[in-house]
Amino acid sequence: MMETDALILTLSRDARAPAGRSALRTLLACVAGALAYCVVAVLAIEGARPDFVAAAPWVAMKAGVSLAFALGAIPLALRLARPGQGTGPWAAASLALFAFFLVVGSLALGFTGARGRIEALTGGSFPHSVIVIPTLAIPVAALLFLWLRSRAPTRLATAGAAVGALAGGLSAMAYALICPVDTVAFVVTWYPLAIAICAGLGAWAGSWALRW
Amino acid sequence: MGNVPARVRRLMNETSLHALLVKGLSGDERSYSAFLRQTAAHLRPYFRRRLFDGPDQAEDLVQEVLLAIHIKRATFDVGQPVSAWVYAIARFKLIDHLRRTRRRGVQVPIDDVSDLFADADAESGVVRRDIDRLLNQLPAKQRDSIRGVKIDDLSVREAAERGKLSESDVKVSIHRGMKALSRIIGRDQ
Repeated sequence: MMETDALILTLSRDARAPAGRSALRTLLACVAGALAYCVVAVLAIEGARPDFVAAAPWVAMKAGVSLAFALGAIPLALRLARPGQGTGPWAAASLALFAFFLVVGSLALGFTGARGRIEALTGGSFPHSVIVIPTLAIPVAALLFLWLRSRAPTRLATAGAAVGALAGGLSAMAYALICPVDTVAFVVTWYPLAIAICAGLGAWAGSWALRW
Repeated sequence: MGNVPARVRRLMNETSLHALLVKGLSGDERSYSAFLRQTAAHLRPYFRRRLFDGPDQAEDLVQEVLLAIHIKRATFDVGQPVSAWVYAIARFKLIDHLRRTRRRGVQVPIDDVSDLFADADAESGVVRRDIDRLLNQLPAKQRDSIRGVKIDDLSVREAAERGKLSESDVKVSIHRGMKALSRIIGRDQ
């Protein structure tokens, strides 16, 4: 107990809280940088789709679906970065969004003629988005993990899932610029699924990479 | 983990602790050390109840959490209950500690081992006294035969030689003696 008293004495000489930037500002800076990286990487590797102007509504719809997940993940990550705060409504909101898109996808498939269904769902080949979006998200997630480690996450897997979903959402927004498949069923199935994969990988990595 | 058990919140005296921390973070060293001391006093029993590897480990963990609180003090939000904040960090460090020790295998300090033996000796002393008292209620022949074979670990022949009896005498004596013992024990209960 003597040692503990000595420790308390030492710590209390340095009582004042360090004046750092707010968690929200540093996170938004990371998000802006990450989005810029994703867009540059996607355009450098693949180039924007040639019919970009004509397909603008589709690009906007894909980016919007991705943005919805990113917007849910930001407050979730902020909460989980601070000890003693639960997920609030945001984890449930993200899951509800996921479920909503599943329903929309099923309805869209229902309205598609039986012959075109597979084509509408897969875009005619293997859906590359589930590979490209998580791959593109890896450096983003690494940056967000660094941000989280500068805070104090105490629920590592959940916090990892939140920033994984955020990284996936940002990556998917950029992927929308080059994604060639324009069907509702494709977008609301594979974009949320790709982001969910990112969240799952984030949860797995978070449980060991976020320890402090 | 916003849902701190009500009992934790009550025990931690939320209001005064919150005031001490807020004053401490604005640079008041005395408030801050009072906050840390009170927090340590809450953490100590919390960890002792949950750790089975001794008060030293609990104290190590108390220090680790105090240090974590200090390093991460910028993440405390004035608008949140301090008990929730401290409890989340303490719980996190406890789980981390349990994970680490489980992976490495539990470490037992040397002096704990001698404690263990001291206990065992004391206990077997008590048991021996009880057995002596029971055996003394038996006739000498039965008592010596049982002591020889069942306690001193002799063979029937050795016990017979020691008691100057025949081997079958020893066997019969043990048989009768054990019966008598179980009667005595049954009566006592």
